[in-house]
Parts: sequence; C-alpha cells; structure tokens
Amino acid sequence: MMKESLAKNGLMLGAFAVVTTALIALTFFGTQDKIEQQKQQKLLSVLNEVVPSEFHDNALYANCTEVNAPELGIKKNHKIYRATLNGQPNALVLEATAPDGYSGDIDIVVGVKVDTQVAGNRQGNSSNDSLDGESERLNTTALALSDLAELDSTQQRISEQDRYASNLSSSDAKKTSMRVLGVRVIEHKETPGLGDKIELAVSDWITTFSDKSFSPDNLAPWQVKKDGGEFDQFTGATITPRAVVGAVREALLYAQANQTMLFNAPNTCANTNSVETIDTINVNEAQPHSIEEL
Amino acid sequence: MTDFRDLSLQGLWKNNPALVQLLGLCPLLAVTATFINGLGLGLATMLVLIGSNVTVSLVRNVVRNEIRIPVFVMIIAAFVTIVQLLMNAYTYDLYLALGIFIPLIVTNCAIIGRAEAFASKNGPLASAYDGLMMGLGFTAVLVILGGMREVLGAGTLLAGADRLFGPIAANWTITLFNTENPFLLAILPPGAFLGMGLLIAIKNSIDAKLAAKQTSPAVKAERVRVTAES
Repeated sequence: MMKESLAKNGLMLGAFAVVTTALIALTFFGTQDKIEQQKQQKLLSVLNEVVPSEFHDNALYANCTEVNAPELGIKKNHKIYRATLNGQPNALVLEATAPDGYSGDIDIVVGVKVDTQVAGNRQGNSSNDSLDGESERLNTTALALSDLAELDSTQQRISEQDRYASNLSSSDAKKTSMRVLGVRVIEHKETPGLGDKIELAVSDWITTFSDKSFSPDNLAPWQVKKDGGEFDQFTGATITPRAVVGAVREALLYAQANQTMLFNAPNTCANTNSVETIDTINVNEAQPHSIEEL
Repeated sequence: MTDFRDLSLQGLWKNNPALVQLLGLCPLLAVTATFINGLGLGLATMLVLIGSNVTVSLVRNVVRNEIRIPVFVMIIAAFVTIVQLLMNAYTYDLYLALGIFIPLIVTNCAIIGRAEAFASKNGPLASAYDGLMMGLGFTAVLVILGGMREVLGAGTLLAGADRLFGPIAANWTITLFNTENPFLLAILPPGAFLGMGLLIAIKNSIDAKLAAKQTSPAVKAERVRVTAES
C-alpha cells in the first residue's frame, strides 16, 4: 500500500517534471534565436552609439579582443571592440566595470578615438592577417599579458600617476590626448530615482562624457565636482557618478597605455566563425549595418 | 456556483493580496519606486497569476493531494520561465526594465497562495477570473504605492513610461514640482514600508467606517487570510 502510493506519487511528480521541462525547453529553443538577435541588436546599437558610424567601416561586434585588466575591473574578462576606418585603427570600445557603485558593480562601455599616429605603427588589421601570423601575434600578446600580470600584483599599492608611468614603460604609448566618443551604462543596480540617472533613458548626464579630450597628464578634471573635477554629481547621490567617472578614467588610462597591444591582439569575437568568415562579414556586412544604424 | 461579483470584491478589496493577505511583499516593496515600475510588475504578475490559476485548475483532479504543492510549484516556475523567455524575445526593453523581478515572480506567495486556496478547488473559468481580480488588486496597490513614492520622492509621475508603452509615451511624464533635493526616505525601501503601512491603515479605517455605518458598531472588519483557509 505504502509502496504503491510512493510509486504513484513519484511517477506523477516525474511526469509533471518532464512535461514542464519539455515546455520550457520548447520555448527556449523557440525563442533562442530571437533572444540572441535582440541581444546582438542591443549590443550593436550601443556600440554604434559610442562609436558613431562615421568613425568606422567594419562590423564592430565581430572584431574584438578579450582582456582581463585591473583598470577595467578584475572580476571578469572585458571585451574591447576595435573600430577601423579604411583598414586603419580608428577607435576602441572598451567594456569596463566600476566596482564601487552604491549597490554593486556598474557595467559601462567607453568609446574612444585612438591616436592614429601611435596605433599606425602596427602591422595591419588583425582580422585580415593570415593564420601564419597568428602564432607570432599570439606570442607577442602573451608577452604583453604577462607584463600586465606582473604589474597587477604591484598596481594596488602604487598611486594612479605611478601606475601610468609603469604602464608607459611596458608599452609604446605616447603622451598624446585621446577623445571620448561616448559612454553608456550597460547594467547597474543603482537606486531608482537617485543613482539610475547614469542611464541615458533617465537622464542625459552620461552624454557629458562625449567629445571630452583625455590626457593622462591632467587627470584632475576626471572626477566629480565634489572631488574637484568637472563632472556633475547628482543631488543625493555622489557615489554612483563618482564610480562611473572613475571607471571611465581608468578605462581611458588603460586604452592609452595599451592601444597597440589591443589592436594587435587576435580577434576573439569570431565565435563559431572561422577567420575566413570574419573577413566576409567585414566586407559584406559592414556597410549595410552602419547604414541601418543611421 | 461561483459568484463573480464576490470574486471581484474579494480580489480588489476584501481579500486584496497586498493589503490584506500581505503576500508578495518582497517585489512589492522593492520595485514600487515609480508608478511605471509598479505597473509593469503588476501586469506581469497578473499574467502569471491567470496562467497558473487556469493550469492548476485544469490539473486539480489529476494531481494527488499529497504532491499537489510540488506540482503547483513546478507549474508556476515553468510558467514564469516561459513568460520570461517570451518577454526576453519579444518585449526586450520591458524585460530589461523589469530585470530581476520577473524571475522573482516565482517567489511571490500570492501566486501559490491562490493556486492552493482557490484554483485547486474551482473550475478553470472561475480560477482565471480569480487570477485576474487578484492580479488587478495587486497591481492597484503597486501602482498607488509607486505613484505615492514617485510624487513624494522626485516630484514626477509616469516617469519612464516609454519603457512600458514604447516611444509614444516618451512625453507622458508629469512634473508636479521640481526639487533639487529628492525626498530620500520616499525613494528608499523604508519609504515603501511606511507607505505600505499607511495604505493598510487607510484601508482598515475605511472598512471600520463602512462596518459602523452598515450595522451596529460591534461588527469589525474581518481580516481574511489564505493560510486560514487551507
């Protein structure tokens, strides 16, 4: 009797589990492509917002490298999208995480126009490189990354200016200024009504970054006004804008110091595509996409 | 058999899930910083409530009594996941705006409460209606609380309506007054608790007045709880 009821209940529970799981699985597979497409579209529109189409003619989302740098937040890897114009490196989009928001991490993207003089020394567009050059470039990247890793351990103790100086010695950046094209907040958990003014949907504060030039020699303006910088804080919420401004500043310092390495690193946004297909994407899809976004 | 008028009255007022049953307080207090957030979560909850009520009602004679709760949980979880996937695919902006609170609908006790207390004992039609009314009652409280906090905190109403209704709603925001210093207490969670307490107090005092008017003042407003029913 007892056994029978146990078996019946077990079977019924099992049956319900199978049916509900099957339903979820069906919906999942039915919506998978659409969701991926939505994400891609969102990413594309954000990428095109921070690097307007006149600054690039390649498919931005298909040309990126992944880095793990303390300047961008150490909790996870960040993608750096490379924008090229007529095959020349022109702009970078850096994903970055501000770890010191009021309620946790704030994920942002920073679009920045790179100095073509410096970046021009590189050997050509990575996505156009043949597979033969791949291993060589991997080696140089590995070297650059190990340099960075060495820096990681000491960086926490040294001040901002010192860090910039040490980064300089490990790379070939010059003391030139960069121009911010745009900044957007991707994800945050800041207080609605206070900290969420960093979202473009709520307030246009984030657009104050656009067209600002950045020079590592003069970091003082890259703070909120309360700390002596030139960015407004929100009434009732200083921590959030301070975190965002700080993260942008760090990301820009990183971009400044590592731009050659970033442009030369192998493309990791190819996903399932082989190197050959990336080329076709770049050639065939670049134009339609940038036109669509206009 | 089932009186639809009574069902409406129960859901909207007498047995309001938020004000009387005090269920689903976690999302209720967390998202009601603005009118639109409250409305968005309220609508999503209502959809899940109707769907889960109908499903539970349909399988109520198949499921053995001992395992009904895990089965209900599975149904509700599946329903929420499906709604979440569909919203993710077809209303992406709304999905981004509501964020974590869609999966949190699973934890809203109001839904399993209605499945257990009503849908498992009634037909699909009555259960769907009950879900609709309970959902409306819940949404009403979310919206009132959200509106209250938004007006007090930021001096606006309907801010961010375009997230829910699309670009046509971009200009719907009503600014009642401009404030340089937002009233922090109203925006932060403690304000939600205070506002919620205030709403319950108002409801109870209205009930008390109605009761006093109707018959002898001895009759007190009755607090009906789901837990007492099962």
